[in-house]
Amino acid sequence: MPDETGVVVRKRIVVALLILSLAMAGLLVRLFYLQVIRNAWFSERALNQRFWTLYEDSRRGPIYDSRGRKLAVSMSAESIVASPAQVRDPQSTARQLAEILDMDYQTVYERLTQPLSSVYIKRKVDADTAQAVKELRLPGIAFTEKGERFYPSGSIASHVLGIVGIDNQGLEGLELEYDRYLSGKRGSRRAEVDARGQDIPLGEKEYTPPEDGYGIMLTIDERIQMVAEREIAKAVVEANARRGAVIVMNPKTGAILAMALYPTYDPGNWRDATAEERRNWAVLDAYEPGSTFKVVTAASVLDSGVRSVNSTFNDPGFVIVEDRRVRCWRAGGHGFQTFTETVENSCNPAFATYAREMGVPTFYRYIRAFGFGSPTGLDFPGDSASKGVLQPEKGVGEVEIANIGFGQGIAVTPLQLLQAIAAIANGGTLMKPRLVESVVDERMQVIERFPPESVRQVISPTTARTLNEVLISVVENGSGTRAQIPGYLVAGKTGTAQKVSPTGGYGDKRVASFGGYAPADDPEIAALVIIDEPNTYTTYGGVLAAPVFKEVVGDALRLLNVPPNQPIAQPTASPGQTIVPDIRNYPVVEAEAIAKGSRLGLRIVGGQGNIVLSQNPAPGARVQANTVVNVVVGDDPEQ
Amino acid sequence: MGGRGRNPDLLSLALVALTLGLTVFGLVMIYSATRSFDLAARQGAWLCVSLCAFAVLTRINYVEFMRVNRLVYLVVLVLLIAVLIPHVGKVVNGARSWIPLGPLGNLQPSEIAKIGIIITLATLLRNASVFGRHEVVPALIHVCMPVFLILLQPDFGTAMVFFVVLFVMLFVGGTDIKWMIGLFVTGAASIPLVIRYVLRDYQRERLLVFLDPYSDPLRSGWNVIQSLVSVGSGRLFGKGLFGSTQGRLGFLPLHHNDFIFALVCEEFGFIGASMVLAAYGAILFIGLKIALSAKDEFGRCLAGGIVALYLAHVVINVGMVVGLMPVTGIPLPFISYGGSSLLTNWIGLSLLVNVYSNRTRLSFR
Repeated sequence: MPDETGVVVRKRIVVALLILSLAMAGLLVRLFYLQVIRNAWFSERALNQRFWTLYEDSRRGPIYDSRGRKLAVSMSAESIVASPAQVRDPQSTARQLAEILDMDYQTVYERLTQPLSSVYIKRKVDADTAQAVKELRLPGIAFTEKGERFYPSGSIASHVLGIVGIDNQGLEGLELEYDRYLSGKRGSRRAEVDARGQDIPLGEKEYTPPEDGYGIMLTIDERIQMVAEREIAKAVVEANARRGAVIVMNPKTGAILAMALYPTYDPGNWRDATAEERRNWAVLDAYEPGSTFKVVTAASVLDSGVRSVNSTFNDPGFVIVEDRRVRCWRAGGHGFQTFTETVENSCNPAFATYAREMGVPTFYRYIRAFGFGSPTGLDFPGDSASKGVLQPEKGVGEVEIANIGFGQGIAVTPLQLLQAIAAIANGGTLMKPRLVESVVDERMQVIERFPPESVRQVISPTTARTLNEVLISVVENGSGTRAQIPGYLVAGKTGTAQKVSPTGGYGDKRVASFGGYAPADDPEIAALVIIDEPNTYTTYGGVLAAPVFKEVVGDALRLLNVPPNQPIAQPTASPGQTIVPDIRNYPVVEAEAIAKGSRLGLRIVGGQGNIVLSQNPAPGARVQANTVVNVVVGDDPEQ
Repeated sequence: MGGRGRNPDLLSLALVALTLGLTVFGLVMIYSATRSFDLAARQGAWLCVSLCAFAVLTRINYVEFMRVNRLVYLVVLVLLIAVLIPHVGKVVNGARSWIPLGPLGNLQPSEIAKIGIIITLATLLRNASVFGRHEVVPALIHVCMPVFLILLQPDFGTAMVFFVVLFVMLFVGGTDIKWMIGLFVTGAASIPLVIRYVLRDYQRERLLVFLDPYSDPLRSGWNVIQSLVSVGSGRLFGKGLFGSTQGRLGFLPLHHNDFIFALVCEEFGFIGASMVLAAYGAILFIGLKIALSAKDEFGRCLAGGIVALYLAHVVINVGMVVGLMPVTGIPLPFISYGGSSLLTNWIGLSLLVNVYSNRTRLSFR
């Protein structure tokens, strides 16, 4: 019989039923969320923790020079890996490994006991060591191949090649720029493991072999590169300079044949060098070019028609721009000059005047067309940020434009300047500089080719021809005579730029440079030589940089079989005169004997060591008997 | 409509069929989890013991249990004290909760205590009137004594179950709603005190990990994370019987025991897991129907207590597996490995069937 209590209790049981249903529904909703909505995430997790993956490096592709010589190759070296869960006796294992691998016991022990599924004990061990470890048959110790970079020609072109990290990845230079071709695809081994990281003997296993990387073939010619590196090293040492660079380019294709920087570093031991030392400043860093920039001013003023090559300029030693005096480097000035003579003499008042005559818009149009203020497009990391410094056009007044006319108040990268000079050599067409010719597979079959690219026509071919004559004259009669190469016609321009000191204004540091090309009648080679902060009896580009140009470009022309087409003057000695013998590369004692045999004296003026690196006067010069030959000495460059 | 007295009928049959089904399914899952007949056979033996108990207890009219009420309470307390004595009680996973019984494995007195306390509490609450403090305070004291002993083991999860059962039995028994609210508020207010003074460090850590399993993924958070991975990776249809990778490779701990439902979820997916939940839902629903049909207040409290016991275990265990509840060592009824738990749940079942067999005849109305 239902009484009052019975009704209450019945209601309560219905309420309990409701609560029960709610609780079950809540659990169902949660299950639905986990198993249906979020299931992909959990499935992936379950899969990931089930497998232990060990990666196997692919073999990195080689880097070849333009003739197929190997500059950088990868050999695989074995690395020793441990999976701590499988190591049975960490102490004894650590002791044995530490002995063979020449490592600290504590370090090995710590690695063996890390709570990870796998750790590297030692990367890249040699074959004998790997074999010795294999023979121990230690449980939990495995081997994996790691690629290691070798440089068959030593440190050659290191600033171009760049460096490779421990995991086979390109870090700097072309190794980084072309990493996607060179690195290949790493392979992997996957094995099923349990919660403690132990291999399941009958578990699933999967092996994906690594794919080797492609090789790249550079435009760099190893032979020219070697000459360039040797000559710039010598020049920097002789001039007691901070550093130096030579860039050699084919003006018709933009192909860079050599890019040598000194001091250099060994890419095989790149950790010993600072980032600053590894930096390819010839591509990346801007400087005030000084007189070599007058080539650009001359090209612009002739092409714009503001002046003809037949115009003249009278230099009293200065020119007044607004309230300033632009002085000529020569006291008293050069007086009355033809246009060609202003270039030969590198006359600042003349170029300041040319720039002002053109006016800012016209001159800037040409400066930009020559590629200044924008990246060269070189296939090199950081190139896109290396635009040089071009003052904003609006802020450029009479004084500023006059300065730019002779290469001050503008900063350019060495490569930009060479690109502009090469454009004049190439009939006025600016070419994009290139370092890589093609991507090749292991049988040297071309996978991808990078053809020459012209950027734009900067000046007319006629102007280029006219300017060519002017620049030939600079080398024949002007400041660039030391760049003459017997048998070839050379065109070029010297430069001795003042460097802005850290305190502002121009200090006493200089950059000596020479930019030019040869043979001037059909240019095959353009080159720029820069010697930064020379500290010797002179700082003139014509004296310090031009001879480097002569040696490098001369050798390059011969190596590329460009036939000489100019008569070679044979020096003959008259009575009381003597021909200076070539005593370079001789030990000092022998050099002294040779000099004595030619009735000459010998004096060491620089360097340290017992080998003659250079001499002045140069070999073949005709001098008075008993002249003293100044030599710079150093250590045997072959060692 | 079945006959009167001890005659079983459709509802009882359905209840027993569902329960037996879950128990056999549990045996299969224990095999799947351990890949050996060892534990599954031992659990099978406990099932035989349980079936015997069921056969005996359904033949005695449940009203008889009221008479032995004091003896039951005494036995419960003695067992709970005995397990605390070193050499008698065995420590597993940091709690002294087991009495070794030779070939049958271990007896867990706190499990047996659950059913004992339900019987004695139902006796205490049998007076059919809307009651207040005259019953609530003695009932509280009645439950607190065994709970205190269980906390000494320590087994916080089981202790919690006792309070859930007490609360449901008072509610179903008809306690004044003001008293119910008062109890509820007091319980909620004491949670911070319990956390501060009763819980051990590792238990507090479990609570923290429950709030954010990734705060310590390799140690305390491991169980929770691996359980969720098992459940989630089971997807809609599961990896198939014996197809669990999480259990087989040892990522999921205690997968034959507290976390067996995670294994169910992994192998049978959302479909299988919801079917298992539906089976529990049906058992609880039938249990409440039995409570409604009980002929007296004692039977109603008894049935209500057993439903509360099952519900608390299902919600706490499944809630833990799916990350809605903190980790406590509460087994899943009928499925988890554990003889004492199985026996307790089957005794509960026999009482439900018993109450139903002796129900009021609806034709009287």
